[in-house]
Amino acid sequence: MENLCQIIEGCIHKESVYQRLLYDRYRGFASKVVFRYIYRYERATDVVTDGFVKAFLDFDHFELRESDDPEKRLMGWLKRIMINCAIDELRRGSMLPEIGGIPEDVWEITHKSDNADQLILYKDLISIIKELPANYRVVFNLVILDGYSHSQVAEMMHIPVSTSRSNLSRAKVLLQNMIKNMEEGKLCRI
Amino acid sequence: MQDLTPDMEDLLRTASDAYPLKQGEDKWDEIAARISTHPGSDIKKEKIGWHFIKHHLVLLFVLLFGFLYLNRDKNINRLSQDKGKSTAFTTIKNVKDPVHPKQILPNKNLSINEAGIVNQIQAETKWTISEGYEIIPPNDHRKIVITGNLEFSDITYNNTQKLSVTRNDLMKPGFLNSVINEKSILTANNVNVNERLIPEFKSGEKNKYVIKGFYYGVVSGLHINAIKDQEFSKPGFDLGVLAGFHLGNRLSVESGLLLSKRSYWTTGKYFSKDGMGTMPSGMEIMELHGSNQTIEIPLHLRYDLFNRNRNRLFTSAGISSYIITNENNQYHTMYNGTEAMMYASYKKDRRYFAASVDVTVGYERAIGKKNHIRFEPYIQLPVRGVGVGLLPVKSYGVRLSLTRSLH
Repeated sequence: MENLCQIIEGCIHKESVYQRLLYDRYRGFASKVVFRYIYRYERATDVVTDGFVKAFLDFDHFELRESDDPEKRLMGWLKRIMINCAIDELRRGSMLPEIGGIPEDVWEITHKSDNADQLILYKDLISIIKELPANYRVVFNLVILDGYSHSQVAEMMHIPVSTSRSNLSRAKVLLQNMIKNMEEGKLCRI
Repeated sequence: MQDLTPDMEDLLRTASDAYPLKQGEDKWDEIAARISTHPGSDIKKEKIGWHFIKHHLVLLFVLLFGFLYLNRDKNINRLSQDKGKSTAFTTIKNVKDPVHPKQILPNKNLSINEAGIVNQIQAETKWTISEGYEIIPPNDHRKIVITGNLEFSDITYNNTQKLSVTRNDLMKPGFLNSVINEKSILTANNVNVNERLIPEFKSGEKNKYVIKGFYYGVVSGLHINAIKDQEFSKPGFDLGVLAGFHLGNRLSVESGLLLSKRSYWTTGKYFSKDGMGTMPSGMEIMELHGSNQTIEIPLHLRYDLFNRNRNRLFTSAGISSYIITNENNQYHTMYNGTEAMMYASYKKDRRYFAASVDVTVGYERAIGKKNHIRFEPYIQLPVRGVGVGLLPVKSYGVRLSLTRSLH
């Protein structure tokens, strides 16, 4: 953990060696956060890049208290930056619906292991979330998966709280139907 | 309608952390480049430059006080420009009439000190030698003001000496004292004004083009810029205010504040990476298109080459200091054999004292009594590089100004 504190300290002082270490360490985490919001993988990687640029430039605003777990604190901070960048990117595209499927090559190959099936399930679930309309997807991600309150979501998205609630409600219904269809499809294939 | 169960929500949360996603392409180089070219990469933002302004003020005051110091001994000035102000003095209107000295100068004693200043005149003494010539009592703290040629006769006690004095002679400090005895008392009946030498005012003199004291105005202009001897980029403009002070009939000092927008272009060889912070090693800048917004503070000394009627031809030279408030650059870069375009915006103030030497030649015309319009082509030669890339930006332009005298 001391190593992470050094990395944070180096990033605060804008030392590129430590910036690089942090990027390598949290690039995967950031990609996973952003890809839930941004449909296209290429756009998501661009947003991750934007997010890291923003993070490194604003690192002197990162505060670490003694009682904090540095890793949790850093990941929470990074996640917030990545989400904000993702929302900005979606807003630039006016939250337009995306067409076309998600190419298979964006997924990490799951070798036969104990949890291979689980990983495939996770991948399918994320794919379903990504099928949601953008405004539903963002609210669902923010509230259910990332733990923000509706008032926070309303502030981040510049929408009324009531809209946030209704979007989440519709997202849940849509998701439930999609999951049901997915399960039925699997059963049919069997 | 069926909703998601809490278990399903938990599952989705787990999935969101653990789903298998490829890490994708390593974009560290792009990140490093963007950080290094971003204004946030600047280490510290300096406070707005009081020192910078102070340098200009000090320079301005040194020039002003230097001039005033050098001219402290002058005791004779031209009257014609402010003749109308001497209403307190008796004026003989018809200069062609013979003038008896006693009519002009009451029989009062006066002496002339070393600097030629008339003193020891009674406070109530108010008289004029003739139109165009007047001696102002010393309690007014003004100086003898005489235009044209004067002839003094019997300037000494023994009444034997005649002396012709020109205005230029009188302008010389201590001149009068040099031609009369050291402790001479010049009494009224010792002074004679030769009628024939009294100049008549020409009708055109009422319209004489006069500028004195402080003046101020607005200025705007267009310019084109080039770095070294490369191509010019698209024109920029400037807009601002100016203020000046006439140090004499021909000389004035000017300063101002101009907001300027400049565009420039250069190949990478003139771009200095020193100001770029942590630019990735091996990255080469091939070409740059940039623009900046600058607050320009000129400090110029102006000299009138030609002054006739209401027209003046002048030249001025001086320095300009820059505060670059915003800079936008588009870089054409090469990194590991790959070409890329990068954009960077720098919002940090960058200050450059005496960044350029300016030379102008201009034409000015009076509009009414106090207003003037000015057309002024100029060239600004860089003394130092400015901006992120420390670029030596040369400017050619023209400015149009409207000024107004305070007096």
